[in-house]
Amino acid sequence: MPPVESAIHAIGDELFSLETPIKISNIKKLHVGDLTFISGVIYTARDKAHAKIRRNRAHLPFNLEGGCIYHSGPIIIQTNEKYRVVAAGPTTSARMNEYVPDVIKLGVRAIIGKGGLSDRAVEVMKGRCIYLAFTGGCGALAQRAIVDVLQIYYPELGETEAVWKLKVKNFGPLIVAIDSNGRSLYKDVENYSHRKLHELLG
Amino acid sequence: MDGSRKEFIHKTVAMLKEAETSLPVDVMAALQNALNAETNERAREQIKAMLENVKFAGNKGLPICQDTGTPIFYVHVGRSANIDFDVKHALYIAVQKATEVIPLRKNAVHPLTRELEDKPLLDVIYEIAEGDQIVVDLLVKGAGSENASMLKMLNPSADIRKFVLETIVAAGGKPCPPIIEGVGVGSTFNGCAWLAKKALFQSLNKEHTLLEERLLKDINSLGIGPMGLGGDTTALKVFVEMADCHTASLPVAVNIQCWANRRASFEMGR
Repeated sequence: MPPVESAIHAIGDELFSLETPIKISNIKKLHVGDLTFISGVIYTARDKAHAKIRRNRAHLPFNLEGGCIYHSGPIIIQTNEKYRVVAAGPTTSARMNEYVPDVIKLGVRAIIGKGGLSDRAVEVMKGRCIYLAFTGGCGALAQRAIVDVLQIYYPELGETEAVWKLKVKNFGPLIVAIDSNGRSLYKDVENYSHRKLHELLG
Repeated sequence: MDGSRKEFIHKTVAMLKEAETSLPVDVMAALQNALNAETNERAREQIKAMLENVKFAGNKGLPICQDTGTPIFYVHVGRSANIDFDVKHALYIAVQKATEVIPLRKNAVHPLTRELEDKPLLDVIYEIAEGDQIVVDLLVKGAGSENASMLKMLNPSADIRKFVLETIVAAGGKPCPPIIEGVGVGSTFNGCAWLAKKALFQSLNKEHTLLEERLLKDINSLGIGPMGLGGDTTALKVFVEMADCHTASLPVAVNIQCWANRRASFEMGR
């Protein structure tokens, strides 16, 4: 795995690693299809957490400026006052489509998830935020890259739906699936598969 | 006999642990073959991550995926098996135990309030079999792939292939491809859904029929690829299960399983 010491590293010709807080200038260096890793602090959020973030946006207990949201409902257990991550792969991002404008307004620069976001969400993200696809089902790989559990917010939502502040190192591999120009790999794939389907059913 | 109930629970917990923290040899081989054949570099990265994830999870005894899913128990009860305990309750206790010891994610919520229910989630299907044994097959089913599944009561003259392919295109990357696809054709509304799910319990080593081969080829030509990021590998396997149906009906069900096709089994003698 690539070492991460400063904000951005060129690995070979294509690979850059991100570090939080994320600068807009850095997300602009990443393009659809690029492979990347992220280090720093990420916040998990699923359906219920997003609804709560929207409701409490004026006085959030955490700062999302330059931040990274991770669509994940992890298994994290508490043993002897210490939190232990068991598995923390990505969840389907489409369920969070309607909340993307809210988190962008709060300064989120990167969203990690799986399966992609709606056209409307992609439009809102333009110039401000990128979407990084993490391989679905890779709960153990995610666990390996999480070096510390820093805090739990909204524990009343339960361990799965709560917001977890996680310290990560070389979290990935991540594919830039929606870049800051609004180009979406999912859209390209969708267009191709629809054309193919049409041909097959001819 | 309390001893056999204890043994049953113990074996079920061990089976859950095996299924949640590793993948069957046939699934690992199918992923490896897909990696070797895949021409899309991004797709190869995805499959490599999957294989590495399973190896790492296995070494650490961790669940492969944080969505530890709904365990589907397919219980074959031998006609002369001597069972003097409540099998469903024993499975319930076993899932409860496994949730603590592996551990698994608590996935059960009330369907309307969406409040977390502090109890295990499981599905049990029984079948009467020959012999004096009880055989339990387990399939662990995550929500991403289950949500992309579909059932339709087609017009008998309708095109089954069209429905199957449209379902896969609509699902895109959401069910975590490369998928395993169970297709149920015929039977009744509920019978058809079960045919599609039952199909997923099979080993990927099973040989394809001509129909299955054609569907697999069509699906993999769609370019959806691993995690919907493009590539040659959208499905690892297609299983079609058929049963006779009413002259006026054509039920068709597509039950999708994610690449993390978590299965295990055990049997218990008299």
